[in-house]
Amino acid sequence: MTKYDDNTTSGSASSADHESLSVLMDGEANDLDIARALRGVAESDELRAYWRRQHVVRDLMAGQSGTAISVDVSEAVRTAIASEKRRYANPIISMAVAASVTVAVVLGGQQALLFNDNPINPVTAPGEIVQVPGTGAVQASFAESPVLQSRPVTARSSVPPVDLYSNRVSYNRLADERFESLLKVHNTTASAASITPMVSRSIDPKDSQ
Amino acid sequence: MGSGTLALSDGDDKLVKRAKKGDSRAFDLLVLKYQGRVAQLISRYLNNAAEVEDVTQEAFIKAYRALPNFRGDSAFYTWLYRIAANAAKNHLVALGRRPTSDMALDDSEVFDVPGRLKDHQSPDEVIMGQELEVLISRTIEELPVELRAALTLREFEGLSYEEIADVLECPIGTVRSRIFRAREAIDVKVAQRIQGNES
Repeated sequence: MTKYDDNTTSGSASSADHESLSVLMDGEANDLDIARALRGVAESDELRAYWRRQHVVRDLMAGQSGTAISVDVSEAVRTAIASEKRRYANPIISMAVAASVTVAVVLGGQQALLFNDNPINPVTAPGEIVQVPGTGAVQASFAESPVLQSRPVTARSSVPPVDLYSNRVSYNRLADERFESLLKVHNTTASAASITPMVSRSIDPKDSQ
Repeated sequence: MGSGTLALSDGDDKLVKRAKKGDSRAFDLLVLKYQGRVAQLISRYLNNAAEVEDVTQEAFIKAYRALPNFRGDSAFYTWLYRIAANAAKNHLVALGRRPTSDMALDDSEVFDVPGRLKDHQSPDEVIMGQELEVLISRTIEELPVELRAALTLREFEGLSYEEIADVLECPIGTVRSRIFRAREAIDVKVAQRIQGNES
């Protein structure tokens, strides 16, 4: 065995790891070489130092003796990138969850108000699964109202029942008031802008009933 | 890769592709590869060694953040050097200083002229570089002829493994192995020299 045999390595990483880096720096690496090289540098500082030295040697052989041999910012950059990844990872997940919950609540609430004329008393009990109105799949039918299913619950209700009927009435009253307000603004603006001496009249929904 | 010249960017495309997908290990390899050159470029703008190191680090972090926008129209190192040059100029502006005329570099100076950065090294680095050059030359001369031939054809002639296999009339796997073993022999000497200098 000579000093140039394959067993000649300069550290704890395997000879195959070093060879993969050697091939990678020549642009001749296959997928296995790349995978081995990436795993190796993640696990072995010695392998990272080897890769660095190999490029210093290449620069010197190419007459690029201007390379700053003593500068090593790789560890600082690696740490900075890792902490940046962690910082950005958590808020994204939190925001995604919050957005999903918000959308579910808004859509569920809207469907409950639109499709449900019968107030339902949602109850909770250990082990029970209750179909919340408006959160189920809605069939693409314009002729029929979806049937909301609620399982009979034998356990005593632990949450006070929500009066969805009164919620719907309140919602409708607010919508009516908003409509009347906008109608008055529209009539005033239209009268002022019109070149004909026409007096606009708003129809109060209460009058027509 | 064709014959004639050894491309600095050999292997970069595979690492850049993986780094763009978020593999920070691939970017780590690019940092290790280019940090010396980037630091030397920045040292043309800044004289203080600590500032050079800080701005070098900043340049690589900026490059990592901008990596999704790198489309590969130019070589990775050209794109990286431009980020580094801008980081150095911005650092000077932030300090209320301006690059002097001899610091002002155009792209051809920065990216295309081998050895141009030599004048801006510290005396210690110049000496170290010269010693390593001699050491590497001597080690190559001492290599067994088949290892020396494979390494020389690769590093000085810029031949691909396939072309070297044709020239040496041996399998590509043998070329791969010989080049690796030649590099290992050089690395043992270089590592000893660098560690000796550091201790």
